[in-house]
Amino acid sequence: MHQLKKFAPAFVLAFLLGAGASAFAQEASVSVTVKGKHFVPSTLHAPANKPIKITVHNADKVAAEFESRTLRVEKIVPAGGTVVINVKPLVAGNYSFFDDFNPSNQGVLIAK
Amino acid sequence: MLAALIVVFREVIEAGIVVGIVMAATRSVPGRGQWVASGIFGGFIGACLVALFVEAITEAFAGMGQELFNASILSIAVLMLTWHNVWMARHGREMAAEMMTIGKEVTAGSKTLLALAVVVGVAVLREGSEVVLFMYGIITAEGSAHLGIFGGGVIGLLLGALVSTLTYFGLLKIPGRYLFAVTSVMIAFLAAGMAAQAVGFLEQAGKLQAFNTPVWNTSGILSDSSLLGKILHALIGYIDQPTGMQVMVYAGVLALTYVLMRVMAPTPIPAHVRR
Repeated sequence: MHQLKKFAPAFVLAFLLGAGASAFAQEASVSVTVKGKHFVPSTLHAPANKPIKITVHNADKVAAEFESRTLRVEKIVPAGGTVVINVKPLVAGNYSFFDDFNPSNQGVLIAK
Repeated sequence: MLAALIVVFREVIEAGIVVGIVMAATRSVPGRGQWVASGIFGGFIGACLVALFVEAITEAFAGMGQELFNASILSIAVLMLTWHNVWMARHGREMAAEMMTIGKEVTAGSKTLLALAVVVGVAVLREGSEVVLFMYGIITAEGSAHLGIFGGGVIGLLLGALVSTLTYFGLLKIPGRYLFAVTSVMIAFLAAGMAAQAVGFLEQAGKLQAFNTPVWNTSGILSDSSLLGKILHALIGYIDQPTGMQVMVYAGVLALTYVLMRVMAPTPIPAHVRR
């Protein structure tokens, strides 16, 4: 209980900071399509330190699962469907992703 | 074929381990087989429904339906697991005593069987819906090569069942009087891991912003998508890059379970009455 109380202000502060940051930061958008069991394009470019909206469209007739360990995402993309994934600001670097239903289908998001 | 086998096996490991632990935890409770079987069956039906309505679920809650759905059912599982542990802390000894003295079958344990059946159902539903979507994709795709892939998927499923069996018989190797203690601890870790996973989904949905940056990264040592990492993920909720919130919730569930089990435990029976 004592510990909890100690953390409470930090909690509130982090919450406000988080909310503030997402309200003010400009969001970048990238999109990728799963077509013929491949990500098109397989390399995505996005700015670092900005929230990113990744739109994934599945043009195939089978479901895919967009997954990335480093982006902390796993989301099913229904056949013919589109999903939106919100990624919080990234440190510059390469972030690989793959289709969990077809792991040989891979791509990378380059943030810089 | 091998690729399909791996995809399906990776999905079912977790559910397999959960079923094995639940079977071991309820070893002396009559009728647990039917409960666990109905959990698996219910989970399978649920998985088919989720796969069928995946588009509707995806579009719900401004496109964050999948995340919120996963977080919700995981939370239900966490509640059920914790309730089982606390209930057993309260009544487990009575049950054992009853069995010893009267020698008749205990029915008291069936109260938490429902909770554990729900847990099994949730585990099967979550992983199963992905397997159903994956397998459905193969069935509907044309071409004869897909038969082999389908076969691979089926073998993957069977391997998942094997994981259950191994977990179960592995746990039964533990002497009877320690089994309850061991399965309680395992169930507590199972609950903590699922809670951390639920937090991960809420963070993915953007519903939980506080402390949402990873506090460490052990993916270089043991990736949670490797086989061992997957097994540890299922057993103790291992995540290679947990956020601060995930770590706090994980520790919180463990601490809360410990406290509740201590508070709810009946006053110790005098030593000479114990076995």
